[in-house]
Amino acid sequence: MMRLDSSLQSTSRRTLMMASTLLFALSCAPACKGGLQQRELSSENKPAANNKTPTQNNKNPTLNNKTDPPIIDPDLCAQKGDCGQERPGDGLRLVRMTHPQWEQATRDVLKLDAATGLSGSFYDDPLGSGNFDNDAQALEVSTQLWDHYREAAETLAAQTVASPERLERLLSLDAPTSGKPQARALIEQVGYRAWRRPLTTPEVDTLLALYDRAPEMFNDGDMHKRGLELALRSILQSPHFIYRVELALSTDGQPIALSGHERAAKLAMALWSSVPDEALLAAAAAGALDTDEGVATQAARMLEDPRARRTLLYFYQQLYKTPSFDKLEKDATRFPNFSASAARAMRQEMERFIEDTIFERSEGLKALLTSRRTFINAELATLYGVSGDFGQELTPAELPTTERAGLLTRLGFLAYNSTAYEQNTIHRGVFINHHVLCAPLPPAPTSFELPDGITGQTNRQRIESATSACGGACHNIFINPAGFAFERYDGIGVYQAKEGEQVVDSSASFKLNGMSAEYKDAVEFSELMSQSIEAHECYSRHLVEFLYGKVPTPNEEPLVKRLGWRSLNEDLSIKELVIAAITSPAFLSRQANQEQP
Amino acid sequence: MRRSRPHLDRRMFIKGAFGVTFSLPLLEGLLTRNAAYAADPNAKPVYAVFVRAGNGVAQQAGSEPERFWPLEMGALSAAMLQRQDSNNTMRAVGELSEFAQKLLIVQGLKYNFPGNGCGHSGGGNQCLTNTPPSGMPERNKSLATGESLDNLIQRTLMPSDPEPLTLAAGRESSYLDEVLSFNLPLNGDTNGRLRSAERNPWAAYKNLFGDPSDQLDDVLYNLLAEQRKSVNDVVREQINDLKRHPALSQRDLQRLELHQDNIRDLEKKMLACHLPTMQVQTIRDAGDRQLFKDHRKVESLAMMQMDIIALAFACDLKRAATLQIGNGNDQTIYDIGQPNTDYPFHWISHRIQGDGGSGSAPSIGNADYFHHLIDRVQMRMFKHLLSRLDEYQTDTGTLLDDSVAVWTNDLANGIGHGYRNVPYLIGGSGGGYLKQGQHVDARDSGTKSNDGWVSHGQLFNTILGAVGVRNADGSPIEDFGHKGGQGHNAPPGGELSGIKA
Repeated sequence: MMRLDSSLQSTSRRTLMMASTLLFALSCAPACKGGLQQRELSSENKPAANNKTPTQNNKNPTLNNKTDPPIIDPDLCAQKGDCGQERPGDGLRLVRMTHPQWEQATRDVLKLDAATGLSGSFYDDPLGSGNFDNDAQALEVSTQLWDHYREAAETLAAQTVASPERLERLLSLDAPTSGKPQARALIEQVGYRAWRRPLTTPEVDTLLALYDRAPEMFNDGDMHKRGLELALRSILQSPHFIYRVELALSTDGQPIALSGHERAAKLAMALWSSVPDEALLAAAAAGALDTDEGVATQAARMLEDPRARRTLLYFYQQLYKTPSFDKLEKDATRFPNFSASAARAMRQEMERFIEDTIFERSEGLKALLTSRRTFINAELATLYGVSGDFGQELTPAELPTTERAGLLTRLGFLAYNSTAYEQNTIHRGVFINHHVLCAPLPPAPTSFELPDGITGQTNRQRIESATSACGGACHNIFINPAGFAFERYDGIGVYQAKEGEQVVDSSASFKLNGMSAEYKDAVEFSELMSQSIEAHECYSRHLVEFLYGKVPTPNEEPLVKRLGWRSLNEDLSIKELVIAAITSPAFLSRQANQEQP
Repeated sequence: MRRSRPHLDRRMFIKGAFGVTFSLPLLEGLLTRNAAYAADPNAKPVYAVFVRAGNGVAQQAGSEPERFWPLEMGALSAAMLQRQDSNNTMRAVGELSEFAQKLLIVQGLKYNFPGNGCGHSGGGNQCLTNTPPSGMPERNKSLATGESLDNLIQRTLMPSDPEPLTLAAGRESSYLDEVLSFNLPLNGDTNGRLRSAERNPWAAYKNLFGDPSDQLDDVLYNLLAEQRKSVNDVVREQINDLKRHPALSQRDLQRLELHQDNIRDLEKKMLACHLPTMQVQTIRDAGDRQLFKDHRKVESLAMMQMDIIALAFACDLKRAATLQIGNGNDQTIYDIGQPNTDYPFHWISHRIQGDGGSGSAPSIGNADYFHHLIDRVQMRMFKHLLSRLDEYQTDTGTLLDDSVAVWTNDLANGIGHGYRNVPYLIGGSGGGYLKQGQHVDARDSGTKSNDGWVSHGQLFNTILGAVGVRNADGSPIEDFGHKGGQGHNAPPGGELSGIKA
């Protein structure tokens, strides 16, 4: 049984907060030893050199000799970026679109001004084993989803043929304007966009045959339009639309490059959550995507498109849970300055900062982790303690240098990783370990008991008291030091130098680049993380997972490590990192007809 | 020239006036592919439905007399269930006397974990999950820390459609609304995801069986069916072409086969499953006229939802369903045929004219008796479900025989809002797995906790055995719900041998 000292018993809310905190606090105790050993072994790596060294790895990998396991020399990888030979991809050949991807893809296929929102009624997709909703392994077509696809396709097809303007928009200027020739043009042109490749003659003929049968299946209306409606329904319900398909086949057992159209489809899904546009399809048809340089050129173009902003922002929304900031609720007595509008502004601030850093300034992870630049309104300015003339709209501002540095010290992140009453040191620490440093914390245990006699005047002291013995192996090395760095931010992220009469102690140390790095607070910790191979490799791992739509396997390890090294040592911008990720053999080619893991 | 087309008359499968027995010949043909954790993919399906009421039942507590449980333990009979006790009152379960031989009444069960600031929310959190309420959020916002039984059954036995049917009838509330069905926690989270329940029976009906407005005219219906079939034929051939491609792995092929199966299943569902026209019209009215928002119509709405659940089972569209009656701390005003009883049920359950458990609010005279009358309303609603399930004939009996139809309350009693002796009434034997016609005490055969009561998780383990959900190695599931951790030990597990046939 948990016993609390008198100071705790006097505050039931605090008791609850402690209990909540301890969900994580004590959860990794039984498995901790193994995790610790694993971590200490990997930390034998030499510290990464911070001077910018040109990458030594294979810039233009060949596609042979791919059956060997990845060769990763930790020393070379950390020092020179030579992280082993990259291997061709090993993912599924049929990758179903997520609902956001379906939404954007239908908009682009039908050239609509805005997304239809029809996917809002689809059943939620299951979350796979990773951090993002596009894990191909988890995405299937259930009975309900098939019904929803059908209903949506019927709606879209009917709307399209009912509007001459919408129908006209789908066809090229030189397309026939009536009868079966128009039907053929529609099938070929819409089909090309939807299926991300030219339709074969038999495929066109099959859809035309369906068009011809309209009089059998409708008893009213213009049978030409009815036929077009049937053809559109069929295009949108086709597996060639619902799935992104890779059928590149190796005939000699050797790895094979994806076709130009398959590369275009994969690029569009990764960067735009959609189908290729005409320029990308034209590049594919012209063979311009057969080289890394050609792919990089198209990718650079695509990153300037608003769809790329939305897609990459979605990456952060899932990783940092920014949409949940909107729903934060805090105890009004403790946080009278917190409001629903402040919660919304916290999300907007975080997302605006991310967009600005990536797309306006073309900066990288270091800036994301250390920048003081932000966008705030009057409400947030009060919470940050920033003086100036602020209104309701977010406007550019600089945060106090000694109090804030980067994403992890923003109000929204800190408030989200807090309880309704206080900062949640443990959850903050776990987040840093899991999502910023990819530290190997063991999984939650099967059972534990809250320890007796938790004491302490400050939040930190109570957590140290609770975790010093049971769970200490994990907490003292991984979770607590990461969480304590943020001890100077209260439950809504406001800077607090003192907790009651006690000066807040946010100093700790954490192993980074193989060495124990000491810091006095989150500002210093963020700076140290921004210079660590762990943070850059972790970020790269997340990025590969998101862009590839799969949890990285050992197949992608050399890529992840190389990207991490380049991000750190070459200070790549996020956009450059994205291009590096999608010009890898793991993205652009496939292993020979293997069974996927 | 028009091609002759097949006549796809939905009504060739289901005919009959409301309330009249009718059968579904396509049950076997509509069977859905089973999952790895199903005990026997070829076994006859067993269905599970959980009806939940709130605020506890009027069972013996403090000075209040027993008014809920049967007069006797052991064998149930209609006569015994209908007999009045020494207070000249028929026990609430007497309303189910017609089903005495298909009932299993279990007492002696408890919830294992304390609530986190709100007894109603804490009870709802545990009602179908056997997991502790969350640390955060807390009080009336608390969540279960795991999935609910309906979720596990549905996703295991029907992986192509992992969403259980989640319905509600009666009052909504911003304080505490749905409490019953929980999806698995997301990765990295410990809290289950509370599923919102569909209160509009028309929306539920359309989602499950399609919009019959397309089908009121047979000509239009057949045209629409043929349009869809023609598109599906094209899609099917494209899938077949893909399946023939030598590059595809087994995993890719499995995806395509699942996709193809689901196209077929949906076609059958659209053709085969509808309630009789008059009954559909009643359900349509409830949606169109927003009657489902009027909690005074809770009885008729609950019965509509039960009709939908029974049809969904009969057509094998769902394997698990829940029906929540009223909001979390049910504030529905029930019609109990007594003057001056126009109080929210929650007030009656506290015996005062207010939502607090105590305080200065005036008392409600005879509130415990009124509570008993509400229990009888609940029993009559449950009887409707049993009747509906029993009307569908199968080759070996009725759909009720192949079901586990559970009525429960997420609190044990009204006045105390406690968690001990939570009522569980089970209709149907789960395909012969459970005893029938019995009133048993779980403490006679279950593994007791230190306080002498038996975890309701043991009942859930037994239900999982009945519906055919097993561990991956084929062994029975003996630890559904909390596995320990988060400040609580795992409650004693295993099945309840005393309720197995």
